[in-house]
Amino acid sequence: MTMSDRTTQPGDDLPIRPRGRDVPVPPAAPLADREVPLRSDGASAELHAWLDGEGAAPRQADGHLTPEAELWSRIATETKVRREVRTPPHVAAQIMAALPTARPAKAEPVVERPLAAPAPTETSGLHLSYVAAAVAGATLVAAGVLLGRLLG
Amino acid sequence: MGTLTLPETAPTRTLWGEAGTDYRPRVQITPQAVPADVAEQADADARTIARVLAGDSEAFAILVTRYSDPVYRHALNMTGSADVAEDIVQQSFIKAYEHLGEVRGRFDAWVFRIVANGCKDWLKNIRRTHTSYEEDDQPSHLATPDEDLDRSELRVDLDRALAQLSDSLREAFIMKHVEGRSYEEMAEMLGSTVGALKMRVHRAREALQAILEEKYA
Repeated sequence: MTMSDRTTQPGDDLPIRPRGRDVPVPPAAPLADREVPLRSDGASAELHAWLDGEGAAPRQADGHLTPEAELWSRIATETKVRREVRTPPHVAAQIMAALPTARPAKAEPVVERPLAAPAPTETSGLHLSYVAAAVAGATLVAAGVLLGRLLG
Repeated sequence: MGTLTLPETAPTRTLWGEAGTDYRPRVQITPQAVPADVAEQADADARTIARVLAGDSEAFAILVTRYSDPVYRHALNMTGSADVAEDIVQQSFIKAYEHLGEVRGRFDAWVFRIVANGCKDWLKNIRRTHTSYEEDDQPSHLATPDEDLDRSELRVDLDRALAQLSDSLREAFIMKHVEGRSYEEMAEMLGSTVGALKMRVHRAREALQAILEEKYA
């Protein structure tokens, strides 16, 4: 769709609605990323390189900027103005006035969080070391083998 | 320490400002609170955040003053509406305050992501509830009578052209060409790669050029 097409869309001549808050409405179906074809010719590459700050501006044989470069020069003038826009001062005041009274919670850093030790169980007074457990296990296995031979 | 004072009168709501209008923030901060070096700035942010977390909520004004301009510009260009941009910026900073203890890394990148997501959510909602694009929906505050007519026309046409891009293409173009960020910085802030973002910016340029060149080139 071109800009000239846009200016003739039905609805453009509708009466002006009262403006409470200016809310622009984007088109219902914007151009999807992959719907935009990328030109791969040398002129296009030169133009993008220049716009990325990696080369000289593309020029015609007579030394003048190409029409595309001229367009982007004009767009750059516009974007430069937009870069200087400042936040209206009342916004900062509104933000500070709207802050919750509660102090923001401190998040406990994961690396400094103490590891949670399992709570000691007090189910019995028996304390078993690894060695004692190994000996007990081996004894039970041996007793099982012996009992098996006796019964077999 | 930042002290915040309310402006005496509400400013006239224009995008580009008016002659004699002082849009400088009314927050007084010490000169060393805005160091040039990024690492120093990150350290300064960390100290400010520590003060806020310790109970000095007024110190949050330093962060608001330091970073409201870039995020406001982003929201303004993404939505095309000063009112919406103000709302998004305000809600984003309040959200940032509430979750300040969870900041990891650079505060500016973190708060930018909150604002960027707010813009995308707004665009998603507005597209869901509206099915047509109307001339009258262009923000009225964009018109400033004493400006050069040609530039004024291009400004409106550029807004319309930007509105036809997908959110991701518009975001990439605005970050690169309106906010003047490097691809490396964009990659860090958006969690993407330089190559992917270059591709997005190139596609955005191609789309904008296709829309505008018939009239301007």
